[in-house]
Amino acid sequence: MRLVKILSATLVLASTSLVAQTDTSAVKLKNDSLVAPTFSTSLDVLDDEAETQDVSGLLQSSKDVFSNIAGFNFSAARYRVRGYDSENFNVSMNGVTLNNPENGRAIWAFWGGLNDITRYQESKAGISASSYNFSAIGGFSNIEGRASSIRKGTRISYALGNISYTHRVMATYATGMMSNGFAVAASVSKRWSDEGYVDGTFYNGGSYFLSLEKKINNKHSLGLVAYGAPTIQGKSSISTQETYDLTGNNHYNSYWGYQNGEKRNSRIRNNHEPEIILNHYFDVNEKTKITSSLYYAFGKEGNTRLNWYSAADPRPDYYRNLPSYYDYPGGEAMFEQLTALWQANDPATTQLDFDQMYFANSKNLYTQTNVDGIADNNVTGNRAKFIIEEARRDISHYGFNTVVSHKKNDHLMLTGGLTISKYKSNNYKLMNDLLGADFWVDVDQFAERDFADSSAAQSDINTPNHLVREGERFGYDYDINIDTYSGFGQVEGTTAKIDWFAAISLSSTSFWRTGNMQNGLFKDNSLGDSEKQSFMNYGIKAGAVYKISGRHLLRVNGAYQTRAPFSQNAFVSPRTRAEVVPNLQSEKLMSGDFSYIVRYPKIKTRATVFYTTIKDKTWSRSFYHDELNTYVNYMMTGVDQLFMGVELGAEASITSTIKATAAFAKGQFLYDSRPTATIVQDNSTELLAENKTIYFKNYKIGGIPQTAASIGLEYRSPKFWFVGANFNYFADIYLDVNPDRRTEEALANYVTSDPQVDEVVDQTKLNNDYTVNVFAGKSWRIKNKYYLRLNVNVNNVLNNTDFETGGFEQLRYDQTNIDKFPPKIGYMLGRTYFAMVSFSF
Amino acid sequence: MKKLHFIISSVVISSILFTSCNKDYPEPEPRTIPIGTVLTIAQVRALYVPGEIVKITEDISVYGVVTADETTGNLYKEAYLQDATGALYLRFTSSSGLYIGDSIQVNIKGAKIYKYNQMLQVDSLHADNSILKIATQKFRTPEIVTIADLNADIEGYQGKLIQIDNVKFVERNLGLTYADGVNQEDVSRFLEDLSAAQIEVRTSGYANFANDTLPAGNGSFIGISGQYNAGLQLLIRNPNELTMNGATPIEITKNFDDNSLTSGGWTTQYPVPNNTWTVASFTGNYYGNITNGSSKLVGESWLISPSFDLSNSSAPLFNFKTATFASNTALKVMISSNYDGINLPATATWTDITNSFAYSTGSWAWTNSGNFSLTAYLQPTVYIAFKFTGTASSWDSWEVDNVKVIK
Repeated sequence: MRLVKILSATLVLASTSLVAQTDTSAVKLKNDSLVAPTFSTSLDVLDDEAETQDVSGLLQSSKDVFSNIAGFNFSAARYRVRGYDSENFNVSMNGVTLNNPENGRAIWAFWGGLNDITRYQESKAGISASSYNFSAIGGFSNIEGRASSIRKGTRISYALGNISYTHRVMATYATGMMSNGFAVAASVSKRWSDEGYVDGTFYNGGSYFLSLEKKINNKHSLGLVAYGAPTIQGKSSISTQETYDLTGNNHYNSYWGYQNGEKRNSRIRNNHEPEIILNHYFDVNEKTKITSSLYYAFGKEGNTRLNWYSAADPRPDYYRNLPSYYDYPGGEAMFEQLTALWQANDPATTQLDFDQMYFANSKNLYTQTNVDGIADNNVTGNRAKFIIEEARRDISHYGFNTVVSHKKNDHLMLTGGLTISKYKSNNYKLMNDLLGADFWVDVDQFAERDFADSSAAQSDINTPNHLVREGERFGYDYDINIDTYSGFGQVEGTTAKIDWFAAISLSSTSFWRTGNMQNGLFKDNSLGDSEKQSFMNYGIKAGAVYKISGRHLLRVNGAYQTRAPFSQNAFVSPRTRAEVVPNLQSEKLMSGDFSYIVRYPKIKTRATVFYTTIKDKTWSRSFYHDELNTYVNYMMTGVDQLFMGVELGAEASITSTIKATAAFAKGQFLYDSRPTATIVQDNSTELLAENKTIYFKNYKIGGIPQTAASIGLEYRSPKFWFVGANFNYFADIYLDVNPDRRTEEALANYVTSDPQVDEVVDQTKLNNDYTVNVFAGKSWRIKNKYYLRLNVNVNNVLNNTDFETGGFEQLRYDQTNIDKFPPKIGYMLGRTYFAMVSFSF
Repeated sequence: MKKLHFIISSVVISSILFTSCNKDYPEPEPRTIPIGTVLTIAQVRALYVPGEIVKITEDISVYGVVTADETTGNLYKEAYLQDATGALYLRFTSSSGLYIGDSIQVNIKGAKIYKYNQMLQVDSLHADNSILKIATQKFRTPEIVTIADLNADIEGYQGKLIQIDNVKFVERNLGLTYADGVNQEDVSRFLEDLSAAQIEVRTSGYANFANDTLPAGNGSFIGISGQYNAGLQLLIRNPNELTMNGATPIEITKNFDDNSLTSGGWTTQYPVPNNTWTVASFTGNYYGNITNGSSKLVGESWLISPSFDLSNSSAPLFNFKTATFASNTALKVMISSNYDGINLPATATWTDITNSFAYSTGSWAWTNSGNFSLTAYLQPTVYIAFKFTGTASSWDSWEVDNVKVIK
């Protein structure tokens, strides 16, 4: 009863703090909004995130009762713990941070398929002490790849699923520490499917992991880890409601089309970023340990897409290719014709038509004069109208870190570490497929149209009129260099009543761009090294657990830190020039949480309230603007975010075989300032807007559920089988808002009482929805030596395909007709399953 | 150790096996554009039925060379095609991808032929499905015409690539831009030739030269001739083609408005005296006047221009206007390139060019003479003279005004 009281008190406390605030704007803007910024530089990144960085999944293995349930049941709805982005979780392997320095994200795909290894990890949610680094406000996960730490034995498994891949085979073997002082662990897997859950997607991934360890003597051990996961995957789109309604398919994918009767996906992700880590474990004495790592990561991240020159937009869901474009008096005939074709799912209408693109390319004879700037060097051939190009990011990242820990006595532990990180990414476009044509001319078609001076359109004025063949670089080519030096110190103490910790960090970050091409429009600031952007940052955090009794704990944590802006948001248009966002500054993060934890043998609960602000974020995105015929870069500085809410988790053993679980999270994830926007065109020095005030305060961060709840029941038979089900409920999901619609300019033609004002300004709230997941398993022990296990998970058992999990308003909008560029919305997959049989010995 | 080797090599081998490779897609079967019936451009134009939209439902191919494209943005989803028989205005459902000099086959199946504001067009062509490029860089030479030629056959010139020499943008347009590139609005400007005939030049606000200033000089215009309702409209392909940077022709005008007969170096000579040239005026307009009066005096009276240096001119012109009540004796117009400007006209060689002009036929109606080309007289000293011969048989009067030499 006392527990219930405390819980309800916490809830009341939490909900009072959740009262919406109002931005008392000069322009009366509507604002009761909240969650999920995805600070992507392109919308492309946004729609792939669910597949690439399911960080909440990492927390599944944590011992925390809330994180456990949330990790298993909430991720399909794009739930993010406390509303945080990936950059606020530190992911490491053997103490080497895996978050990408350009954007702070940890990309799960780079070590996908190594589940037998990644299961060995230490995870903590929220602000906590970490023995690896200063960590992050959202928590951390350290994957233990040390060979001697991986459980000895062999494990072979086969899994069958219907999400992105159909089959997975995996084999893992670990020796444990052998008598000769060696330990070896290895894992390989392959995942593949010809077509995943979504039409036109396919998957082909391999993974390898090898860890060696040699114990040199009682004090020194050396370890070597190498892993990678080459993966090729056909992607799926997110589109407008119109396309879903017309095709009757909420998982309509516009990215694929037929080529010679075969499905071909135009958007293929092709990643392989292996990493090699050399570890030195030094046990100085019983109390002091030094763990050092040298690491090198390299490889590529490629994403293909269509491009076209002097041709109609071939994308089936481009707004002019949809019936709604003809929804005006006089357009009835086209409207009806297109509607019929779409509703019939005519692939020539609803999908790309590769045959047609080949056809167009096959007879487009063109003479390019003065090729490569050489007079009278004229080449005649079929100029490509349509191509598939690959945006590449090839990284080279090396560094060193060392952590010293010293256990002073049973009550005090000191930890300190230093990290040096040198990162470089080479970003360029590669000609992937000319689709039958002879060449592509390396000019910016938008600049070509706008400037009579033909040198302006050249991607590289040193080789003007360059003809691009397959496998060649073109368009843009630049490096991003990031050097980071950081250190941290931490003290942890334990007493009978109080466990506590405190830590500080200091870091220096500098980044710069190196242009490898001299762009015709930005002759003076596109080539060579840019000015260095340098930032000094620090952080402090502390926390304490007060043990009321061994069963009841109170925990409080707080952190304040500054963080250098991510280079990915810093350059206004890194493809063409070195210019940075005006007023670039460090972000300021402040976070605190308070928890009440109960630990009985039969009941475990945690209730937490948290409050976090992230101030002075830099936000940038690019989008194609039809009317201006160019890419437009939209940047905001001074973006503040507020994350507050409550988390509740409970686990109770009702009988010795039946366990009940519950989790509840309610948050208010809001924008909390009026940022300043700068808008530039990719191919023009002209500013479209400067110092534009965005009335962003109190809009909700979109694309994620701000409220999520789950209850579950599990039966565990003494005969080694189990079965269980969870009911999950999600609410307060909002669309991410387009900042440009929240400006005085957007409302300039209206008076406050106009109904259009609400249409322009209001944030769209998606429907609350629920899912049911079930799981079951059985294990057999054979001859006391072999184990055979069978696990089956079925998610969204009720096959609810109408669950809108998120989306965003298009950055492009028409003030007079908001519906002209409707939001893009994503739906949860319907019933999915994952069944695995494993054999271990 | 053996175990170790085994594991390492297994991992290496499997990673090679598992390293994914790109999917290969076979190229689609090559497709061609059917040819069907081959028609000339003139024959395609003849398919037009007045007042109707003619939809082409069979394979009909027409061949020609592209004479205007979308490169400068002055055209949008459009192109012009020409063969020996005529020209066609093509409109596409998307950007055409055609370039000047492309020699192409156009299959017009599915297209519509009709007139829009009197301009015949082949509409709704599909850039990929209708066009086959056969060759490139087959540039067509523009046909040299005058504004008068175009006006005489507006429809016949529809869509043709033309060149007009010796034109300039009219004075009121000078200093302005081709179009309104800021608001992206189309604008009409006007060209004027030496006979003051004018013609409209229409430029799109989306053209990449819309905001460029019009050339202020005189020279050759190259573009496409189009029609807009009853009038002509010219379309620029690329302003680089306009060589309108020549010096504006110098006009030397004698209009007598200063009430002086001899200002500007004009002289009179009277080989047979009695009748003298004077300045007269009527309702404020001054002009040169000669008469033998009611007493019908006999005499020979010359009004002689100053010397014109035409040695550097390319196509100098001469014109004037006359008025008379009802003259029986013609006013003569004489030209000389060896007169000395001082002595009697008889000391030089004069050519009678009287018959090259139109004259007033009576009632004091002012009549423009029309242009006389002085290209046969590109000499350093050219004199023009009006010669009046008074006879005893009739009372004659002539008025001369706005005598103009355009160097």
